[in-house]
Amino acid sequence: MAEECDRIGHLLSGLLDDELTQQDRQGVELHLESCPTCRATLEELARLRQEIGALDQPQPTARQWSRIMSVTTRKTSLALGWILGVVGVVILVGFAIWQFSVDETVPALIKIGALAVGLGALFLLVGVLLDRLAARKTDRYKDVEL
Amino acid sequence: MPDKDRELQAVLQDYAARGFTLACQLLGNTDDAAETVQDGLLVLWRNRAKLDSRRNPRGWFYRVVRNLCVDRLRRRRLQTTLPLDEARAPNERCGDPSGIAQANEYRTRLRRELEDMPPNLREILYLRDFHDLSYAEIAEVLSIPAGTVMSRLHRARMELRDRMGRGDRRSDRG
Repeated sequence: MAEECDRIGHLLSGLLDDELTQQDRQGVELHLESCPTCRATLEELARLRQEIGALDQPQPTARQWSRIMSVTTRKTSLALGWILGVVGVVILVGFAIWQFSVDETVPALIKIGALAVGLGALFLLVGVLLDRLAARKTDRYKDVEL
Repeated sequence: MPDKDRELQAVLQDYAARGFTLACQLLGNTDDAAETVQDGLLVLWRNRAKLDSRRNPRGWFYRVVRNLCVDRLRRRRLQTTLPLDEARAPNERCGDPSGIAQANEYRTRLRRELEDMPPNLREILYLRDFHDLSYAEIAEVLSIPAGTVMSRLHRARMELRDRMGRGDRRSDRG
């Protein structure tokens, strides 16, 4: 009997949660009819399950709840970070380009090559921005406040 | 705001409440739980366009929160060698107001035993018995095969039963 108890052990939980196949269910029910130990275990597990389900639901305080739902503030802060970062990069890159273009020691061919790389990067950036704008137009939840 | 957006906002608030409960149960600390759920909502916000196409958005959010909790527990283990109970201030502990303790000693002990269980066993018990997730949903949240759910859950239940039994025997002797 003990071997059979070991074999069906985990199926007791499946039975409790109504997650067994019909065949397994029948097998377990048959075993339970003749095994008081497994019946007692099943009762204990059922009680524990019920008690866990009845535990109090932790509630956030008002301060914690407002913090949880303040995703908007975090989004704004992230956006501000991005804007400042991009502005800084634009200023630095612009200054570097200007210095580069007025530097008479750099050959014209190198300047043309650098211009091509710069324009290529600019077109790529515009392409990504256009994609993002198109995605935003079709975003159904853009007006949802969090 | 259009009705649909209002509906979504209500759903998000529901997710936030459920996420907070799970985070609290896994982390045992309301401040950490609040931070974790906020991170979870940010992930949800970034993925909002894909929300409708997900088979089970609620299960997906549980998974996000659970994974964030696991990350936080890992960081906590690296930062402190103190046992969890000592590492957090008593007033930050989840669901432990004295009124509840007086009202039901058994449940207080049950919650304490749950807190002391290994995290992988504790989380599966809460997901099934408190949050009422199906085995398929639990498999998705924990990223484990569906066949593993039943055996792990049973192991967790037997462990909890033994812990509660040991407690009963101790109080009988006392």
